[in-house]
Amino acid sequence: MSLLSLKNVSRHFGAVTALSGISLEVPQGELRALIGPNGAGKTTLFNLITGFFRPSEGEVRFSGHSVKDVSPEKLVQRGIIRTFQITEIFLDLTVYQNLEIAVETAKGLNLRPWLSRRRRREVRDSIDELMDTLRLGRLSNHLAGELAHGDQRLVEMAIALSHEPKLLLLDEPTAGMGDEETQRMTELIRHLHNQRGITILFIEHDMAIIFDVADRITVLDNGRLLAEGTPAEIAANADVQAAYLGGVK
Amino acid sequence: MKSAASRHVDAAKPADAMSSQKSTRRRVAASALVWALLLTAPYWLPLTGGYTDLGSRVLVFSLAALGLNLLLGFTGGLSFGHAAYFGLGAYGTGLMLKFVTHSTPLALLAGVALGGLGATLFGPVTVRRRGIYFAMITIAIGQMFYFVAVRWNSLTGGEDGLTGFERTNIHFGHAILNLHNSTIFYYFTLFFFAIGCAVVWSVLRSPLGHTFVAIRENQKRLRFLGVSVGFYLWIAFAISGFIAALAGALYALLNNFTSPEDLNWVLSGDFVIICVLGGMRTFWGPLVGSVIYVVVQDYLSSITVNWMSFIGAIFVLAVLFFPWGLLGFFQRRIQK
Repeated sequence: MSLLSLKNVSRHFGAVTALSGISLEVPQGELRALIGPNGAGKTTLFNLITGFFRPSEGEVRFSGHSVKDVSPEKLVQRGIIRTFQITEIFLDLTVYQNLEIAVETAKGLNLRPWLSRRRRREVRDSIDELMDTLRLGRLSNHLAGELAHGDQRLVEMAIALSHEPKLLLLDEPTAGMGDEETQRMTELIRHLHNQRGITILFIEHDMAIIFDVADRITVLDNGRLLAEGTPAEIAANADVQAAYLGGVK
Repeated sequence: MKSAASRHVDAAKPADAMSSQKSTRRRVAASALVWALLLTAPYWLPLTGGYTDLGSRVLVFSLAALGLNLLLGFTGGLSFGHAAYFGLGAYGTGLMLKFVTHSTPLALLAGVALGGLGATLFGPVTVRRRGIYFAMITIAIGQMFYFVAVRWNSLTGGEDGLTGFERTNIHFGHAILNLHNSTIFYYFTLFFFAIGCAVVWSVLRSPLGHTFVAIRENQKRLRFLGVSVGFYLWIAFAISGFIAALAGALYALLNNFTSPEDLNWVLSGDFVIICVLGGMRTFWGPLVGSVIYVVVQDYLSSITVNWMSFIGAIFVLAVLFFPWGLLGFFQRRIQK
């Protein structure tokens, strides 16, 4: 069974059709890339999946259940976690505090006005584990707002991972990164996919990364589904060549 | 300069750990100093030309601002209506003493309950909006109570205020807590101020407090971590309302009087000014702001009726030169 399934989903904003008739199946454990020119509707699709927007028509299902009328907050609790095109972290707090909030939220502790010693240690252990996974330990006491862009992205990934996502949506995870940072992020994505079996849907413009890590690729163009297939199939697809890959050159 | 920079690069972690240890020590020392000054205030206040009731006034305003600051400084909700809960606390206490009981503790409890429940009840209405709209709704709700107090002459004494009640002594078996004595009443107030501090302090160190700060920092991020921001804003609003109500209840006892001015949005604005003056992002900022505000008011109002313009000027200068408040300014200086 597909973890995520979209059936004939459309979304209009007034007279503008951002997405029309999108059907999509993402099986459990897949690493799926979502590509398309600017304005193709990729981020809108993320907003529909995370419940931030409602589809005008069609249905989004997550692990077999319709997400209609489910709030974004509830969808997070069911395991859909996203990152944003523009990094969304707590800039005026330290890296440690960023992860502290994330971990406490993931453990459902937000309402607690105090914590037992045991709980406090659990929280600290989870934070340390995330720091290790993302190699953020050396930045623990730095303000997130003072970090390099790539490190901020890693903080955002750590926040996302604290919730042990079933479906991870990454909106241009390597945008604005240098080569070395891109390399690190790519390795991280592959690690999450291979070692942890997290289902990942990611928007990306860097073709090298996509062809490197993606199991399958979905191509959007002008709000429509243009093509879907393995990297090899997509590379050979004439429509895609015309609409997108050729256009980049 | 150079050595500090290279230390940062070479051994970021140990240097950080050391500086955080140092800043913790400094914080503990600062708090110890604050408590020592507060505990001995009745003894040194007269030496500075002050008097004990002035000290109690500072505590009351600090407590109200401390409550407001949980919402304003730490959760990021600009409320211009906290006088409503302060005033409800004052009226609750006054009316209880006047009509129901002569027990000061019961009256205090009634005031806290009235103001706190008021904030809890009206919180959900305010947290539906953010930013300037949130501020507007808090003013509107506050003014509602103000006009009720002005109009309901028979119960509240209208514009003249509520008189005809007096704080009473508390009896513990054979022992008597003589609240008529200013010094004893100061310590009575200090006791509740300490409770307010303990509540805010422990909340700020807990996941609940972390959630409040996260709301201030980035609501969108928090929402996409599955947190319903409005619900937590409401909790911050309610806790802060309860503390403001406690301050109001103590204020009624201090003056043996309360008036619609204690509900008015002008007073709400004063609380905001106190927080900003002292430093919204610091724990002791409201206390520092309140010392400045109350002392300047007391001193200047004996010289000129236009004392408010001086407060205004101080406020403008403070915002221009100390945008992080007085305490925030010094904290940043020390950290650099």
